[in-house]
Amino acid sequence: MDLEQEGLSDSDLNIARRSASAYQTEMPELNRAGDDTAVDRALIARWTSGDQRAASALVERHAPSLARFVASLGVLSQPEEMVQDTFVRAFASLVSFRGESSLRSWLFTIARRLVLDQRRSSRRDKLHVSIEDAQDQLVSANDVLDGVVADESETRVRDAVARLSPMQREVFTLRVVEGLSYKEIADVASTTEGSARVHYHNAMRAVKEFLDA
Amino acid sequence: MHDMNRDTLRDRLPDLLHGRLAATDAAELQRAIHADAELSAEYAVLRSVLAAHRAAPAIDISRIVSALPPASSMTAPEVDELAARREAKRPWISTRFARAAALLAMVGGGTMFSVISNRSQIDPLPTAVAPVESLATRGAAMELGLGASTDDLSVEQLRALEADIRSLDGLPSVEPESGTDLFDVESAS
Repeated sequence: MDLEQEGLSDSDLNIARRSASAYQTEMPELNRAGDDTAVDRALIARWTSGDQRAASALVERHAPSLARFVASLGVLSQPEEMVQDTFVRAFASLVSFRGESSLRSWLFTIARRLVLDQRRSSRRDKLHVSIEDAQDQLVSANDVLDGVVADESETRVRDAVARLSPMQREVFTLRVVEGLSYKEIADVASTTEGSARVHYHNAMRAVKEFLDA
Repeated sequence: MHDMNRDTLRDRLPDLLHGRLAATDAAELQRAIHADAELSAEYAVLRSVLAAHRAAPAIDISRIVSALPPASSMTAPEVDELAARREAKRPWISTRFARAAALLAMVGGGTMFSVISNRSQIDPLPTAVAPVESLATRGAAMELGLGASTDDLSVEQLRALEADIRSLDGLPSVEPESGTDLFDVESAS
């Protein structure tokens, strides 16, 4: 693929030509420059050209965020399975990815659909935690987070977020923890920017009230 | 960002948190945070939320990567060709929709015109028409139905019409009589 045709700069082109480890070395600088989308496009271009290391770099870039996101949706057991399914689905159609949205929000959208599908299919046997019923369980979601030694204040903050309504929690998490714009949140959560903004501010108010109580 | 009110500033706090603001905007927002206790408190909450949720569940990256399909087996020209095909398909689709829309508009417009022009010629038809016995009567009724006056009718046609009108008196009313419950079988019997 001709990377110049993709509108990539020489810098992106150089990054795309490096190995996965080299990509990772470059990431902090690129992230600070707000160049996430360009890096993703460069990596996708490399992968579609046959560079498997670009796939590793893409997974490394987005897997942690996806894992946090699916956990926030109530997937408390084996979130890795959901993350893996998300990437498998995404890579199966990555060649046709048009880049009309960011890769990150596209991945979140796929993950969200998978979570909803799984919730529907598992409703009968009640083996899985539904999004609506996940509030109480999310309070104890710290168990899922390996390597985290949460102090009392962190636990209280998590409790505050866990007590939000499912939609408020989803919007609030995407906005605050993942840093998505309202437009991206609207795309992911199948809502409007205005609605996302309202959910965010309501969630913010609820969190502050809980923490101040 | 000078004209931003507090709501707009609050909206952008998460962007500041993630370093997604331009340097000048970030500096401006930082100054606003230092000058506004409420903004400062909200930013502190956001930072604490981010800190509490930053850790991700353990993920085995290599396991995920091993489950992925191999790097695209498509060659660069093939990928470009796919993109070109996709682009070429869009105008064709839009053209097809445009043609369908035009066709629908033509058919719909023609139908509407026909209905409107017919309605302009038709007076309200009687809700019930007596059985038509003769061709003469039928002709008179049709002529009346189409809005013609009785001036053009012959004496025979007028007599037939008069007979038909009299026979209409015996027809049942379309509406049920008031006070009769059609679904109350017991009272009806």
